[in-house]
Amino acid sequence: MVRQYAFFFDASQCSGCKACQLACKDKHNLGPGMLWRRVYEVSGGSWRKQGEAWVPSLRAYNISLACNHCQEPICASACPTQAIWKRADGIVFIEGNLCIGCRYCEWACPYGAIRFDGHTHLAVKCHFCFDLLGLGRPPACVAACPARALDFGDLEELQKRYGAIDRIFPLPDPAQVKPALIIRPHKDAASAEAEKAKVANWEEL
Amino acid sequence: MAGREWPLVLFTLLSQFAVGSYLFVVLPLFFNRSAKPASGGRDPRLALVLIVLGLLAAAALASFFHLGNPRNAAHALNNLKQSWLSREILFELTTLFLLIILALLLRLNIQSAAALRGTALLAGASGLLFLTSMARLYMLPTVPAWNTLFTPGSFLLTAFLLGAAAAAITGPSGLLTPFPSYDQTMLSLALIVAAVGLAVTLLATPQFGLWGHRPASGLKLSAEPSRALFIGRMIFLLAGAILLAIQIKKVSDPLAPPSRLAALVAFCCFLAAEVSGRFLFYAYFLGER
Repeated sequence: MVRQYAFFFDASQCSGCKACQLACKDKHNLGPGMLWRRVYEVSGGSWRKQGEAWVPSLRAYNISLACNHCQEPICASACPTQAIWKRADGIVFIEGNLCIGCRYCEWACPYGAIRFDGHTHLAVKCHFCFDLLGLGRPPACVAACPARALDFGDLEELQKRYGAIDRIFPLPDPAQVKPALIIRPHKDAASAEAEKAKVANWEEL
Repeated sequence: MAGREWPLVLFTLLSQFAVGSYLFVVLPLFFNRSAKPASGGRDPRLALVLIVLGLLAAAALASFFHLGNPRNAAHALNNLKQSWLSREILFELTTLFLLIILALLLRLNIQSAAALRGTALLAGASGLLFLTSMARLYMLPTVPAWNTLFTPGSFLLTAFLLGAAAAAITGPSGLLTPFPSYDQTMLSLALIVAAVGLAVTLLATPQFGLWGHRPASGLKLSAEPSRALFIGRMIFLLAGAILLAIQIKKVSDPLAPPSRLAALVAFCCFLAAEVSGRFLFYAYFLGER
């Protein structure tokens, strides 16, 4: 039995095609401006003079991110109504019937995973396609990735397979919430902060 | 975003003003023998308690406009074990309840000083816990812009500044007499709080203060709050403080005594400063769109 569902994201394979983002939107019939999975385009760097030549020091990679179904979800501890709770399989779930739409969870989540739905006036987010899991199928985002940059499974199993890295620039400190997330970093990620890389596509997030 | 948070601006400012004015204007009247009301007739302290109750009720009403789904508000106390928002609501309700009890005691003309003082003190303590939990709920470890001592400092300062300024208007007898003689204490107290406010704002305001660091943004669009809000807060604080200082100088002048109108204008300056400061507070994290 799965004790903690988790996502694996391979940044070295992601091309930034956003098929995961669209598959999620399609599966959950999300309206304009609403994304439960987002692809952050991180880029930075400049040109450097090497001898007589100018060479680029560009850094560019993508991060596909949804709710990380944290082991210590700060959204759940912040929620005054206990509308956010952790299921036995580790999925962090929002109970719409209890949500008062105070947006405190949205502020608390360091990954920006929780969104406020302007139509229902409730907090919403990725629920790991628990309905598909029940049918023995993968979450929509994982199934849609053409580069197989996304995977899912039990956190311990994924850690055995892929290691335990859960942060690359510019993700927040994982110690705050212990995300159920494993990342294979892109080669540019190690020097991205030093090169003052930034998220370049805020408009679409 | 911060512009859209006007219900929270209203809720926090009204709550802090209510608790501050209760602590500085109303509570001392239960311990100040010289401010004891005349025997017979309705206790004039009742009107002041009702004003504070009205402010708190208005604050509570404003907070409902922030909620997306207020129909579920009855569940807001479900997570007292973990959520500071639940605790804030609990202490708000406790303060309201204790003030209603106090108003009833005064309305029924209960003469027991122990009952009155005990209830008044409990209401004050509950009000302070309300303010503390209000500040604490913003101090999320995942929100560096708010997770600083500036948050509780700023919230308490608003309460004490507006409370002390209100006391400067009413004088030591809390308007129990129509024209109380001014003494220097209330004006000086308000001036001291204003001076502390000026110093804290100038030194510690994130991003704009002399020692204030720019908050880290993390994986969220970094907000760019307007410097005008910071400058506005400073100017209004300074204007209010100068007005109070002039009034203090007038205390010893029998020909031109301190004016209640000037104290009222100083209060309005402090209120404008805190409105400006509160929009800046929300803009750090939520932006200004």
